[in-house]
Amino acid sequence: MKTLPVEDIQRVYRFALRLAGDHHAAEEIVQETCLRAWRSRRGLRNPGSSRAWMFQIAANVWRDQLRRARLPAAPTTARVAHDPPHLRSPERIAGEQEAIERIIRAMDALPERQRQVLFLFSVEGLSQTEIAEVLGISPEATKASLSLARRAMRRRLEMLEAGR
Amino acid sequence: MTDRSCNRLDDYLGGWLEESVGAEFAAHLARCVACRAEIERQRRLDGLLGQAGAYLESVRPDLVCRIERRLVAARRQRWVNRAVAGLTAAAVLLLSVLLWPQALPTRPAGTIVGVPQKPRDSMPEKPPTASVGPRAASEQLAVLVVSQCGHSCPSAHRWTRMPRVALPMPSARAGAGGRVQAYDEAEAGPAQGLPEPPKFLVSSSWKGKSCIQARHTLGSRKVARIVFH
Repeated sequence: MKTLPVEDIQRVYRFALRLAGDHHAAEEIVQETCLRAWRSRRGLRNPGSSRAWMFQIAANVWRDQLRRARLPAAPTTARVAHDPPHLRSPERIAGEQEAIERIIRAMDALPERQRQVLFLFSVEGLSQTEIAEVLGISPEATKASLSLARRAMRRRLEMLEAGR
Repeated sequence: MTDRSCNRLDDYLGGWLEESVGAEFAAHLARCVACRAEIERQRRLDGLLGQAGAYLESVRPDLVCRIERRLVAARRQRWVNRAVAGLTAAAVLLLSVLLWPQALPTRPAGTIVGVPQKPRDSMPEKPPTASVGPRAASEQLAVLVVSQCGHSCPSAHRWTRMPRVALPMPSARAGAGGRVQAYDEAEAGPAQGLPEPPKFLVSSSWKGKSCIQARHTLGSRKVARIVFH
């Protein structure tokens, strides 16, 4: 591993935003994560699980930073990008983009643990076991957080659809 | 949501229900409009979240550059650390090779290898030694000590081993008389290069030392036969 793929950096950055809730802190987490991943690259036994491995390092970096600073995790101020990659009809793009932006905002407004679990499960596609390992929690706690997050998101979607 | 089965909706969505309970919930779904609506909403939600990756934030290009710089610096630092460690090890090795002879304890001539030495002041008499040249100084001889004077010396008739330079030489001191014969095992005859004193005097201190040494067996090619009178 001479360097890290930009896609991996991108993924870690988005996850770090859900952890720290702040762009500056997220960038710090990403830099430290990449450095630690490079140093301990021989510890990665299964290359297929490199994504979960990177997320786990990022979560550890974040926990270390919290421990050092003794600061509570802030609610995320993540912003959605304004450059959707798919070229569709402008009306559909606008409608989809708006719906997705709202959903992302709703996800980022969830409590910290639910936000992280939902992001890793629904956006990154990690399994519950991987999520439990990344966040250092039990599979039962993962399941409970995921259920709560999904329920809250359905309520949010229901409100959004009712207000449309 | 009308009954208790509705509470199992999230377990059903997560695929966490056991088979029998799952079948029961599927039957519940057929008659529960609210749960069906929830499942439909969850599907829409999953679809939107599945696309969210393309709409989420992007890293700033300068962040990637900063990471690259830190990785390059880390690689360089690791290389420097390894080079320093290697050079340090080489320097230590070189120093130990250069200083090794000076670190060895100097042994006075006439002592027997492997025997605890008494302080020189307490030694009543140092055994006289024979100097037979630099080659012979490092050579060890097997020595057979044979008592012919009725001493109850425990080393009598046993083989011992000692440096050639530590062989006893004639002395004017009082004590029992003796003579030494050099014996070459291979040639089955007198060994060459040994001093050939016909007689010598054995002091008690030397005899005490030889008793300690008399535990070795015959191993070297050349042997010397010491005969006590």
